[in-house]
Amino acid sequence: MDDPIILALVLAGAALAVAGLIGFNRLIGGWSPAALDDPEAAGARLAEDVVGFEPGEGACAADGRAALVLEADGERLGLVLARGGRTVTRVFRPGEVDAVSRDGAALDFRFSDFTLPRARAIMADDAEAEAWRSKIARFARQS
Amino acid sequence: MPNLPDPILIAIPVFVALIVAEMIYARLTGHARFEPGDTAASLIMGMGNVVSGVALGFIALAWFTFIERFALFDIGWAWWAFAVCFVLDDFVYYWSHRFAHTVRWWWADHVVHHSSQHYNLTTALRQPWLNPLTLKFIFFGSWLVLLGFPVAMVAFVGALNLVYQFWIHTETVPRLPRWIEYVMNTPSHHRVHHATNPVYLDRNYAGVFIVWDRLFGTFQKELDDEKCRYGIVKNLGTDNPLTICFHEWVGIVKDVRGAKSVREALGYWLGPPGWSPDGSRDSSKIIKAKWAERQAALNGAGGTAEPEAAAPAPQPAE
Ligand SMILES: [Zn+2]
Ligand SMILES: [Zn+2]
Repeated sequence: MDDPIILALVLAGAALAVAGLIGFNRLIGGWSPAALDDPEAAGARLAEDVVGFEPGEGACAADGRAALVLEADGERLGLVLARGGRTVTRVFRPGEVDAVSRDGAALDFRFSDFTLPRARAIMADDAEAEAWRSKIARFARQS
Repeated sequence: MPNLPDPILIAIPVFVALIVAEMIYARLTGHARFEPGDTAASLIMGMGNVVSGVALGFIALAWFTFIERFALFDIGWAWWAFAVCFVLDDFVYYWSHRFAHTVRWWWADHVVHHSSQHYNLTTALRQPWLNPLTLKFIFFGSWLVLLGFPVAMVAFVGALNLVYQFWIHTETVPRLPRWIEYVMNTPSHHRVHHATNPVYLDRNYAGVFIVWDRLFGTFQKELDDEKCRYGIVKNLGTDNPLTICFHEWVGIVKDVRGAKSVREALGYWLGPPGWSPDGSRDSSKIIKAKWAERQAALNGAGGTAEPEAAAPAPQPAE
Protein backbone atom coordinates (compact mmCIF):
# COMPACT_ATOMS: atom_id res chain seq x y z
CA MET A 1 0.00 0.00 0.00
CA ASP A 2 3.05 2.26 -0.31
CA ASP A 3 2.35 3.17 -3.93
CA PRO A 4 -0.11 6.10 -3.95
CA ILE A 5 -1.63 5.02 -7.27
CA ILE A 6 -2.39 1.52 -6.01
CA LEU A 7 -3.75 3.03 -2.82
CA ALA A 8 -6.05 5.37 -4.75
CA LEU A 9 -7.25 2.46 -6.89
CA VAL A 10 -7.94 0.31 -3.84
CA LEU A 11 -9.88 3.11 -2.14
CA ALA A 12 -11.88 3.90 -5.28
CA GLY A 13 -12.69 0.20 -5.69
CA ALA A 14 -13.72 -0.08 -2.05
CA ALA A 15 -15.93 3.02 -2.32
CA LEU A 16 -17.58 1.56 -5.40
CA ALA A 17 -18.16 -1.76 -3.66
CA VAL A 18 -19.66 0.01 -0.63
CA ALA A 19 -22.02 2.04 -2.83
CA GLY A 20 -22.95 -1.12 -4.73
CA LEU A 21 -23.73 -3.06 -1.54
CA ILE A 22 -25.88 -0.26 -0.12
CA GLY A 23 -27.74 0.00 -3.43
CA PHE A 24 -28.25 -3.76 -3.54
CA ASN A 25 -29.59 -3.74 0.02
CA ARG A 26 -32.08 -0.99 -0.90
CA LEU A 27 -33.08 -2.90 -4.00
CA ILE A 28 -33.82 -6.26 -2.42
CA GLY A 29 -35.19 -4.83 0.83
CA GLY A 30 -35.92 -7.64 3.26
CA TRP A 31 -36.76 -5.56 6.31
CA SER A 32 -39.85 -3.82 7.61
CA PRO A 33 -40.12 -0.75 9.82
CA ALA A 34 -40.63 -1.45 13.52
CA ALA A 35 -44.22 -0.86 14.60
CA LEU A 36 -45.08 0.04 18.17
CA ASP A 37 -48.80 -0.63 18.42
CA ASP A 38 -49.08 -2.37 21.79
CA PRO A 39 -48.19 -0.51 25.01
CA GLU A 40 -47.65 -3.82 26.77
CA ALA A 41 -45.11 -4.96 24.19
CA ALA A 42 -43.41 -1.56 24.49
CA GLY A 43 -43.25 -2.04 28.26
CA ALA A 44 -41.77 -5.50 27.83
CA ARG A 45 -39.17 -4.03 25.48
CA LEU A 46 -38.19 -1.50 28.17
CA ALA A 47 -37.98 -4.21 30.81
CA GLU A 48 -35.57 -6.09 28.54
CA ASP A 49 -33.29 -3.08 28.16
CA VAL A 50 -33.50 -1.77 31.72
CA VAL A 51 -33.24 -4.46 34.38
CA GLY A 52 -35.88 -3.82 37.04
CA PHE A 53 -38.14 -1.55 34.98
CA GLU A 54 -41.72 -2.45 35.95
CA PRO A 55 -44.00 -1.22 33.17
CA GLY A 56 -47.25 0.48 34.16
CA GLU A 57 -49.56 2.70 32.12
CA GLY A 58 -48.49 3.25 28.53
CA ALA A 59 -49.57 4.63 25.17
CA CYS A 60 -48.39 4.21 21.61
CA ALA A 61 -48.10 6.95 19.04
CA ALA A 62 -50.73 6.87 16.31
CA ASP A 63 -48.09 6.18 13.65
CA GLY A 64 -46.53 3.34 15.65
CA ARG A 65 -43.13 5.04 15.76
CA ALA A 66 -43.04 5.81 19.50
CA ALA A 67 -44.41 4.60 22.81
CA LEU A 68 -44.50 6.14 26.29
CA VAL A 69 -44.57 3.86 29.31
CA LEU A 70 -44.68 4.99 32.93
CA GLU A 71 -43.18 2.75 35.54
CA ALA A 72 -45.82 1.08 37.73
CA ASP A 73 -44.78 3.14 40.76
CA GLY A 74 -44.54 6.26 38.59
CA GLU A 75 -40.87 6.68 39.40
CA ARG A 76 -39.50 6.56 35.85
CA LEU A 77 -40.68 7.36 32.36
CA GLY A 78 -39.77 4.93 29.61
CA LEU A 79 -39.64 5.88 25.96
CA VAL A 80 -39.50 3.42 23.10
CA LEU A 81 -38.66 4.84 19.68
CA ALA A 82 -38.78 3.06 16.35
CA ARG A 83 -35.64 3.68 14.35
CA GLY A 84 -35.88 1.88 11.03
CA GLY A 85 -36.54 -1.77 11.77
CA ARG A 86 -35.25 -1.58 15.34
CA THR A 87 -36.38 0.05 18.54
CA VAL A 88 -34.36 2.27 20.84
CA THR A 89 -35.23 2.78 24.50
CA ARG A 90 -34.56 5.51 27.04
CA VAL A 91 -35.58 5.77 30.69
CA PHE A 92 -35.81 9.03 32.67
CA ARG A 93 -36.24 10.06 36.26
CA PRO A 94 -38.03 13.34 37.09
CA GLY A 95 -36.11 16.32 35.72
CA GLU A 96 -33.94 14.28 33.37
CA VAL A 97 -35.76 15.20 30.14
CA ASP A 98 -34.67 18.63 28.91
CA ALA A 99 -38.11 19.67 27.66
CA VAL A 100 -41.51 18.30 26.66
CA SER A 101 -43.87 20.40 24.59
CA ARG A 102 -47.08 19.80 22.68
CA ASP A 103 -47.70 20.79 19.09
CA GLY A 104 -51.27 19.78 18.28
CA ALA A 105 -51.40 16.00 18.64
CA ALA A 106 -47.60 15.73 18.71
CA LEU A 107 -45.41 15.59 21.79
CA ASP A 108 -41.89 16.92 21.27
CA PHE A 109 -39.05 15.86 23.52
CA ARG A 110 -35.61 17.34 23.87
CA PHE A 111 -32.79 15.46 25.60
CA SER A 112 -29.20 16.14 26.63
CA ASP A 113 -28.20 13.11 24.60
CA PHE A 114 -25.60 13.47 21.88
CA THR A 115 -26.89 10.57 19.79
CA LEU A 116 -30.59 11.20 20.38
CA PRO A 117 -31.18 14.93 20.99
CA ARG A 118 -34.90 14.97 20.17
CA ALA A 119 -37.90 12.75 19.61
CA ARG A 120 -41.51 13.18 18.55
CA ALA A 121 -44.55 11.12 19.45
CA ILE A 122 -47.67 11.80 17.40
CA MET A 123 -50.61 10.80 19.56
CA ALA A 124 -54.14 9.96 18.40
CA ASP A 125 -55.48 13.49 18.99
CA ASP A 126 -54.83 16.78 20.80
CA ALA A 127 -56.66 15.62 23.92
CA GLU A 128 -54.56 12.47 24.36
CA ALA A 129 -51.38 14.43 23.71
CA GLU A 130 -52.35 17.01 26.32
CA ALA A 131 -53.27 14.31 28.83
CA TRP A 132 -49.86 12.69 28.44
CA ARG A 133 -48.06 16.02 28.46
CA SER A 134 -49.44 16.87 31.85
CA LYS A 135 -48.88 13.30 33.09
CA ILE A 136 -45.17 13.41 32.27
CA ALA A 137 -44.49 17.13 32.82
CA ARG A 138 -42.55 16.39 36.01
CA PHE A 139 -39.94 14.40 34.08
CA ALA A 140 -38.94 17.56 32.22
CA ARG A 141 -36.76 20.35 33.46
CA GLN A 142 -39.02 22.75 31.52
CA SER A 143 -42.32 22.16 29.77
CA MET B 1 12.29 -11.12 5.02
CA PRO B 2 9.69 -12.79 2.78
CA ASN B 3 7.40 -10.58 0.72
CA LEU B 4 4.15 -10.92 2.67
CA PRO B 5 0.83 -10.07 1.02
CA ASP B 6 -1.75 -7.91 2.81
CA PRO B 7 -4.41 -10.46 3.87
CA ILE B 8 -7.07 -7.78 4.28
CA LEU B 9 -6.62 -6.46 0.72
CA ILE B 10 -6.90 -9.97 -0.69
CA ALA B 11 -9.95 -10.64 1.46
CA ILE B 12 -11.98 -7.56 0.44
CA PRO B 13 -13.47 -9.09 -2.76
CA VAL B 14 -14.38 -12.23 -0.78
CA PHE B 15 -16.02 -10.05 1.90
CA VAL B 16 -18.11 -8.29 -0.74
CA ALA B 17 -19.20 -11.56 -2.34
CA LEU B 18 -20.15 -13.08 1.02
CA ILE B 19 -22.16 -9.99 2.02
CA VAL B 20 -24.11 -10.17 -1.27
CA ALA B 21 -24.73 -13.87 -0.66
CA GLU B 22 -25.91 -13.24 2.91
CA MET B 23 -28.23 -10.45 1.72
CA ILE B 24 -29.83 -12.78 -0.81
CA TYR B 25 -30.08 -15.54 1.79
CA ALA B 26 -31.65 -13.05 4.23
CA ARG B 27 -34.23 -12.02 1.64
CA LEU B 28 -35.10 -15.62 0.79
CA THR B 29 -35.22 -17.16 4.26
CA GLY B 30 -35.59 -14.36 6.81
CA HIS B 31 -32.75 -15.96 8.83
CA ALA B 32 -30.75 -12.74 8.69
CA ARG B 33 -31.65 -9.09 8.53
CA PHE B 34 -30.17 -6.15 6.69
CA GLU B 35 -31.36 -2.56 6.81
CA PRO B 36 -29.92 -0.13 4.25
CA GLY B 37 -29.19 2.66 6.75
CA ASP B 38 -27.41 0.28 9.10
CA THR B 39 -25.57 -1.41 6.25
CA ALA B 40 -24.41 1.97 4.95
CA ALA B 41 -23.18 3.02 8.39
CA SER B 42 -21.24 -0.21 8.91
CA LEU B 43 -19.62 -0.13 5.48
CA ILE B 44 -18.70 3.55 5.73
CA MET B 45 -17.15 2.92 9.14
CA GLY B 46 -15.18 0.07 7.55
CA MET B 47 -13.98 2.30 4.71
CA GLY B 48 -12.98 5.00 7.17
CA ASN B 49 -11.08 2.45 9.21
CA VAL B 50 -8.97 1.49 6.20
CA VAL B 51 -8.31 5.15 5.38
CA SER B 52 -7.38 5.96 8.98
CA GLY B 53 -5.12 2.90 9.05
CA VAL B 54 -3.21 4.37 6.11
CA ALA B 55 -3.25 7.91 7.51
CA LEU B 56 -2.48 7.13 11.15
CA GLY B 57 -0.81 3.72 10.88
CA PHE B 58 2.61 5.34 10.78
CA ILE B 59 2.27 6.18 14.50
CA ALA B 60 2.19 2.52 15.49
CA LEU B 61 4.77 1.57 12.88
CA ALA B 62 7.19 4.19 14.22
CA TRP B 63 6.72 2.84 17.74
CA PHE B 64 7.32 -0.79 16.74
CA THR B 65 10.36 0.09 14.66
CA PHE B 66 11.73 1.95 17.67
CA ILE B 67 11.22 -0.88 20.19
CA GLU B 68 12.39 -3.61 17.78
CA ARG B 69 16.00 -2.94 18.87
CA PHE B 70 15.18 -3.92 22.46
CA ALA B 71 13.89 -7.37 21.45
CA LEU B 72 14.96 -10.27 23.69
CA PHE B 73 15.47 -12.78 20.87
CA ASP B 74 15.92 -12.74 17.14
CA ILE B 75 13.22 -15.25 16.23
CA GLY B 76 13.36 -14.83 12.45
CA TRP B 77 11.09 -16.21 9.75
CA ALA B 78 10.83 -19.97 10.35
CA TRP B 79 7.39 -21.47 9.52
CA TRP B 80 6.85 -22.48 13.16
CA ALA B 81 7.47 -18.88 14.19
CA PHE B 82 4.39 -17.88 12.16
CA ALA B 83 2.29 -20.48 13.96
CA VAL B 84 3.57 -19.53 17.43
CA CYS B 85 3.18 -15.84 16.62
CA PHE B 86 -0.41 -16.41 15.45
CA VAL B 87 -1.39 -18.18 18.68
CA LEU B 88 0.40 -15.66 20.94
CA ASP B 89 -1.11 -12.77 19.01
CA ASP B 90 -4.56 -14.25 19.58
CA PHE B 91 -3.79 -14.49 23.30
CA VAL B 92 -2.79 -10.81 23.30
CA TYR B 93 -5.93 -10.02 21.27
CA TYR B 94 -8.08 -11.60 23.98
CA TRP B 95 -6.63 -9.30 26.66
CA SER B 96 -6.59 -6.25 24.45
CA HIS B 97 -10.25 -6.85 23.60
CA ARG B 98 -11.12 -7.46 27.26
CA PHE B 99 -9.55 -4.14 28.23
CA ALA B 100 -11.38 -2.46 25.32
CA HIS B 101 -14.58 -3.36 27.17
CA THR B 102 -13.45 -2.43 30.67
CA VAL B 103 -11.54 0.84 30.23
CA ARG B 104 -13.74 3.65 28.91
CA TRP B 105 -10.87 5.34 27.02
CA TRP B 106 -10.51 2.22 24.90
CA TRP B 107 -14.23 1.46 24.89
CA ALA B 108 -14.84 4.88 23.27
CA ASP B 109 -12.98 3.44 20.29
CA HIS B 110 -14.28 -0.14 20.35
CA VAL B 111 -17.93 0.82 20.98
CA VAL B 112 -18.13 1.65 17.27
CA HIS B 113 -17.93 -2.06 16.46
CA HIS B 114 -20.81 -2.81 18.86
CA SER B 115 -23.05 0.09 17.89
CA SER B 116 -25.23 -1.76 15.38
CA GLN B 117 -28.47 -3.36 16.54
CA HIS B 118 -28.14 -5.73 13.61
CA TYR B 119 -25.79 -8.68 13.38
CA ASN B 120 -24.71 -9.57 9.88
CA LEU B 121 -21.49 -9.69 7.89
CA THR B 122 -21.44 -5.91 7.47
CA THR B 123 -21.27 -5.57 11.26
CA ALA B 124 -17.79 -7.12 11.09
CA LEU B 125 -16.66 -4.13 9.04
CA ARG B 126 -18.11 -1.53 11.41
CA GLN B 127 -14.75 -0.45 12.83
CA PRO B 128 -13.42 2.67 14.55
CA TRP B 129 -11.52 5.47 12.84
CA LEU B 130 -9.28 6.75 15.60
CA ASN B 131 -7.79 3.56 16.97
CA PRO B 132 -4.09 4.52 16.74
CA LEU B 133 -4.80 7.66 18.80
CA THR B 134 -5.84 5.58 21.82
CA LEU B 135 -2.24 4.29 22.07
CA LYS B 136 -3.57 0.80 22.76
CA PHE B 137 -0.91 -0.64 20.48
CA ILE B 138 1.78 0.41 22.95
CA PHE B 139 0.22 -1.57 25.78
CA PHE B 140 -0.79 -4.66 23.82
CA GLY B 141 1.08 -4.60 20.53
CA SER B 142 4.57 -4.35 21.99
CA TRP B 143 4.90 -7.75 23.67
CA LEU B 144 5.46 -9.90 20.61
CA VAL B 145 7.92 -7.42 19.09
CA LEU B 146 9.83 -7.26 22.36
CA LEU B 147 9.95 -11.07 22.43
CA GLY B 148 11.66 -10.96 19.05
CA PHE B 149 9.00 -11.67 16.41
CA PRO B 150 9.58 -9.53 13.31
CA VAL B 151 7.25 -6.50 13.17
CA ALA B 152 5.99 -7.51 9.70
CA MET B 153 5.15 -11.00 11.00
CA VAL B 154 3.18 -9.59 13.92
CA ALA B 155 1.28 -7.29 11.54
CA PHE B 156 0.64 -10.22 9.17
CA VAL B 157 -0.79 -12.60 11.78
CA GLY B 158 -2.79 -9.72 13.28
CA ALA B 159 -4.39 -9.12 9.88
CA LEU B 160 -5.11 -12.86 9.51
CA ASN B 161 -6.82 -12.75 12.90
CA LEU B 162 -9.10 -9.92 11.76
CA VAL B 163 -9.88 -11.68 8.49
CA TYR B 164 -10.91 -14.79 10.46
CA GLN B 165 -13.30 -12.73 12.54
CA PHE B 166 -15.25 -11.55 9.50
CA TRP B 167 -17.26 -14.70 8.90
CA ILE B 168 -18.41 -15.15 12.51
CA HIS B 169 -20.59 -12.02 12.30
CA THR B 170 -23.68 -13.83 11.07
CA GLU B 171 -26.98 -15.25 12.28
CA THR B 172 -27.12 -17.68 9.38
CA VAL B 173 -24.79 -20.27 10.98
CA PRO B 174 -26.55 -21.83 13.99
CA ARG B 175 -24.04 -24.01 15.80
CA LEU B 176 -21.05 -26.01 14.56
CA PRO B 177 -19.82 -29.49 15.62
CA ARG B 178 -18.90 -29.68 19.30
CA TRP B 179 -15.14 -29.82 18.93
CA ILE B 180 -15.14 -26.70 16.76
CA GLU B 181 -17.33 -24.82 19.24
CA TYR B 182 -14.98 -25.99 21.99
CA VAL B 183 -11.78 -24.63 20.47
CA MET B 184 -12.67 -21.96 17.95
CA ASN B 185 -14.50 -18.66 18.13
CA THR B 186 -17.70 -19.24 16.14
CA PRO B 187 -20.78 -17.29 15.02
CA SER B 188 -22.63 -18.64 18.06
CA HIS B 189 -19.94 -17.49 20.54
CA HIS B 190 -19.54 -14.11 18.93
CA ARG B 191 -23.31 -13.46 18.79
CA VAL B 192 -23.15 -13.70 22.58
CA HIS B 193 -20.34 -11.14 22.59
CA HIS B 194 -22.47 -8.65 20.62
CA ALA B 195 -25.59 -9.15 22.74
CA THR B 196 -26.77 -6.89 25.56
CA ASN B 197 -28.84 -9.47 27.43
CA PRO B 198 -27.39 -9.20 30.96
CA VAL B 199 -26.31 -12.85 30.96
CA TYR B 200 -24.31 -12.22 27.79
CA LEU B 201 -22.74 -8.85 28.70
CA ASP B 202 -18.92 -8.76 28.75
CA ARG B 203 -18.47 -12.33 27.62
CA ASN B 204 -16.55 -14.10 24.83
CA TYR B 205 -13.69 -11.70 24.08
CA ALA B 206 -11.94 -14.23 21.87
CA GLY B 207 -10.55 -13.47 18.44
CA VAL B 208 -9.83 -16.86 16.87
CA PHE B 209 -9.60 -19.36 19.77
CA ILE B 210 -12.45 -19.39 22.31
CA VAL B 211 -10.21 -21.32 24.73
CA TRP B 212 -8.93 -18.04 26.23
CA ASP B 213 -12.43 -17.23 27.49
CA ARG B 214 -12.81 -20.74 28.90
CA LEU B 215 -9.42 -20.36 30.60
CA PHE B 216 -9.95 -16.90 32.07
CA GLY B 217 -13.57 -17.25 33.15
CA THR B 218 -15.32 -15.05 30.58
CA PHE B 219 -16.99 -17.76 28.49
CA GLN B 220 -20.75 -17.83 28.00
CA LYS B 221 -22.54 -20.33 25.79
CA GLU B 222 -25.40 -19.10 23.57
CA LEU B 223 -28.60 -20.26 25.26
CA ASP B 224 -31.58 -21.63 23.34
CA ASP B 225 -34.11 -19.76 25.45
CA GLU B 226 -32.24 -16.45 25.49
CA LYS B 227 -32.31 -14.86 22.06
CA CYS B 228 -29.51 -12.35 21.52
CA ARG B 229 -30.46 -8.67 21.50
CA TYR B 230 -27.66 -6.89 19.66
CA GLY B 231 -26.17 -3.49 20.24
CA ILE B 232 -25.06 -1.57 23.30
CA VAL B 233 -26.68 -0.93 26.66
CA LYS B 234 -27.90 2.49 25.51
CA ASN B 235 -28.45 2.11 21.78
CA LEU B 236 -27.59 5.09 19.61
CA GLY B 237 -30.68 5.38 17.45
CA THR B 238 -28.69 6.87 14.59
CA ASP B 239 -26.83 5.69 11.50
CA ASN B 240 -24.78 8.88 11.21
CA PRO B 241 -21.11 7.76 10.88
CA LEU B 242 -19.78 10.90 12.59
CA THR B 243 -22.04 10.40 15.60
CA ILE B 244 -21.11 6.71 15.69
CA CYS B 245 -17.43 7.61 15.56
CA PHE B 246 -17.39 10.37 18.18
CA HIS B 247 -20.28 9.81 20.60
CA GLU B 248 -18.39 8.14 23.43
CA TRP B 249 -15.48 10.61 23.17
CA VAL B 250 -18.02 13.42 23.51
CA GLY B 251 -19.43 11.63 26.55
CA ILE B 252 -15.98 11.38 28.16
CA VAL B 253 -15.23 15.07 27.58
CA LYS B 254 -18.64 16.10 29.03
CA ASP B 255 -18.20 13.92 32.11
CA VAL B 256 -14.58 14.87 32.77
CA ARG B 257 -15.49 18.55 32.45
CA GLY B 258 -18.21 18.14 35.05
CA ALA B 259 -16.03 16.09 37.43
CA LYS B 260 -15.66 17.49 40.96
CA SER B 261 -12.23 16.02 41.68
CA VAL B 262 -9.24 14.49 39.94
CA ARG B 263 -10.36 11.08 41.16
CA GLU B 264 -13.78 11.54 39.53
CA ALA B 265 -12.20 12.74 36.30
CA LEU B 266 -9.92 9.68 36.21
CA GLY B 267 -12.91 7.42 36.88
CA TYR B 268 -14.84 8.89 33.96
CA TRP B 269 -11.82 8.57 31.71
CA LEU B 270 -10.21 5.26 32.65
CA GLY B 271 -12.93 3.56 34.71
CA PRO B 272 -15.28 1.00 33.20
CA PRO B 273 -17.92 2.25 30.73
CA GLY B 274 -20.97 3.42 32.67
CA TRP B 275 -18.93 4.23 35.79
CA SER B 276 -20.17 7.14 37.87
CA PRO B 277 -19.02 8.40 41.28
CA ASP B 278 -22.31 7.51 43.00
CA GLY B 279 -23.08 4.37 41.00
CA SER B 280 -26.22 6.01 39.61
CA ARG B 281 -25.41 4.94 36.07
CA ASP B 282 -25.28 1.35 34.97
CA SER B 283 -21.96 -0.29 34.22
CA SER B 284 -22.28 -3.82 32.87
CA LYS B 285 -21.11 -5.14 36.25
CA ILE B 286 -24.01 -3.35 37.95
CA ILE B 287 -26.47 -4.56 35.29
CA LYS B 288 -25.28 -8.14 35.67
CA ALA B 289 -25.52 -7.92 39.47
CA LYS B 290 -29.06 -6.47 39.35
CA TRP B 291 -30.09 -9.14 36.90
CA ALA B 292 -28.55 -11.96 38.96
CA GLU B 293 -30.36 -10.65 42.03
CA ARG B 294 -33.68 -10.67 40.19
CA GLN B 295 -33.02 -14.15 38.80
CA ALA B 296 -32.23 -15.42 42.31
CA ALA B 297 -35.43 -13.84 43.65
CA LEU B 298 -37.48 -15.33 40.80
CA ASN B 299 -35.90 -18.77 41.23
CA GLY B 300 -36.32 -18.53 44.97
CA ALA B 301 -40.01 -17.85 44.53
CA GLY B 302 -40.23 -20.64 41.96
CA GLY B 303 -38.36 -22.96 44.32
CA THR B 304 -40.91 -22.63 47.07
CA ALA B 305 -43.85 -22.66 44.73
CA GLU B 306 -42.84 -25.83 42.95
CA PRO B 307 -42.98 -28.37 45.82
CA GLU B 308 -46.30 -26.88 46.89
CA ALA B 309 -47.69 -27.35 43.44
CA ALA B 310 -46.32 -30.89 43.26
CA ALA B 311 -47.63 -31.94 46.69
CA PRO B 312 -51.30 -32.77 47.08
CA ALA B 313 -53.16 -29.66 48.20
CA PRO B 314 -53.91 -29.85 51.92
CA GLN B 315 -56.78 -27.41 51.63
CA PRO B 316 -59.32 -26.64 48.95
CA ALA B 317 -57.90 -24.48 46.19
CA GLU B 318 -59.39 -21.03 45.82
ZN1 LIG C 1 -16.06 -6.29 21.71
ZN1 LIG D 1 -17.63 -8.48 16.50
